[in-house]
Amino acid sequence: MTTRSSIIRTRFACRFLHSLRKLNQQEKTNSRRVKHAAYASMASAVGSKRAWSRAVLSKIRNRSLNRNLLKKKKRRSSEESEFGELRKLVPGGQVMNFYNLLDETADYINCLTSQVQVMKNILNLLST
Amino acid sequence: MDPPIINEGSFSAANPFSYTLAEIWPFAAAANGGGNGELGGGGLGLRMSSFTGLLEAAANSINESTLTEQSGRSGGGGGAGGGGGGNVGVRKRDMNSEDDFSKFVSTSDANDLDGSVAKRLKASQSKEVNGASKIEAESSSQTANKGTEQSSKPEPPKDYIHVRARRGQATDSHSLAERARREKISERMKILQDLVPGCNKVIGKALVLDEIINYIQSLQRQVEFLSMKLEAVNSRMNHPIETYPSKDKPGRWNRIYVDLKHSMFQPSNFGVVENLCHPKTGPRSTRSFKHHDYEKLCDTSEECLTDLYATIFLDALSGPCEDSCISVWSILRPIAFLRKLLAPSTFDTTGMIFGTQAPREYAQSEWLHMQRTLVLDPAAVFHYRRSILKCVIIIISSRIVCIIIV
Repeated sequence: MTTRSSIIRTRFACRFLHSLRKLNQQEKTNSRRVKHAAYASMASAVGSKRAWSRAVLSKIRNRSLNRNLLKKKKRRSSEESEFGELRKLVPGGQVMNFYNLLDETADYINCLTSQVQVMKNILNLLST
Repeated sequence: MDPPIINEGSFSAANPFSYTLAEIWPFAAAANGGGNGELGGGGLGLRMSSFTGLLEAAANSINESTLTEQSGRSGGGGGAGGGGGGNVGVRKRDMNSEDDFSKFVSTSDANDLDGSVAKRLKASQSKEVNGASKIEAESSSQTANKGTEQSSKPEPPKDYIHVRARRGQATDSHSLAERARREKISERMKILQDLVPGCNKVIGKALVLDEIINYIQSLQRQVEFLSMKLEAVNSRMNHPIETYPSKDKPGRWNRIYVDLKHSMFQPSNFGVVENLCHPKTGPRSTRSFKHHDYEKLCDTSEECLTDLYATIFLDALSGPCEDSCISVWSILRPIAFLRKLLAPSTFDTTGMIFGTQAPREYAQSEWLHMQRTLVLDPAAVFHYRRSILKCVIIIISSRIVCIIIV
């Protein structure tokens, strides 16, 4: 588990720093772009093994395409109240059954914590 | 659709065990017939409810009709079992909706291994009568009063859920499957509870879920906040001090490099380098830094500079987490650094780099840490491998030329 998380951390740091450098070269940047870059690099670091990373990647790939679809989905899922919050938070959680949802949530939490740590380190290094 | 008739002579319900057919099947082939004698044994019913998940095959017959399972349970021997017979009619409907129903669930109460042997025999027999027609099944369902139960087994299912029914718990399919599902979910919840800090003390599923949701939200907010900060820092770096002649390294990295280079010539600028260290790991990194690098600062060779680079970056970026590592190569690409990294090192298949020799100044653990954390860009690895290939080609071609000349 530790080796896997360290690999993911490395990959995430690589991708995120690359995207930061690319963003630096562009003129228009805002925090949303950085956030998107962070999530995208996290998802691509995890790969397509996990459902939530697949959801994030597909969402990024055709963001403009299925804006309407997403709205419809959200409307439907808001009706079912049970664990709706968790489903909303975990990407791709709207279409999972509950067991898978818990599984994905565990992995997602792991990845988020490592993401936050790496981002903090980078920020500390940059702001010194 | 066949009725496995299961009775057991020496059955006493004092210690109810539960057997799944998963344990029974493997021996079914080895067991011979002859269990029929136990049919009327002590008149003690053995309760066994089994469901097969191969609903696709039996869907036509099952979905419409009710699957009646008769569980004759007579409190015998120990008398501690359920007294009286109970008929449980279970209507199976809509079973494809649940995952858990698609798996074979069976429990039975018995108290010793003899019981399981008897069941094995029955199971093997019931397997042979597999081709029975639906009419037969219906007729057998009418004669189900003798403690028989009915199940459809087109072929032995592959996945089983081991469910242990305690006394007083229901053993019909729905409750069994539901219990298995609940167990799975609670297992996951425990894993999640371990992940989320401070969640171990919370009792109750709803509260735990609340806690998990809060934690995820806080993490996401942290990511948002950090990205805002990073954006601000990143935009500030838009006007780099272009002193190092390279297009590849805009912004801050240049300045660090320049600072380092200056500090090399003037040991008084040592503080600049020290500032690069991670504040949280400050004491550790500065200590290790001072140990072996202070003399190196006076040294002007390129190799020492790159060496310095590695330590500083790894110290700074590895931070509070021991195994967070960073691709140094992706940030800065001084040629000497590449040369240093590539020359004495070998790669394994994943592109990790292994240094062949460690400088003596490094502590052992530190050097190991460095080796673990140094990760190269795939492009660099590719480049390295290509150069090796070139060498090989040159060697081979020279050999060929030699042969031709000879």
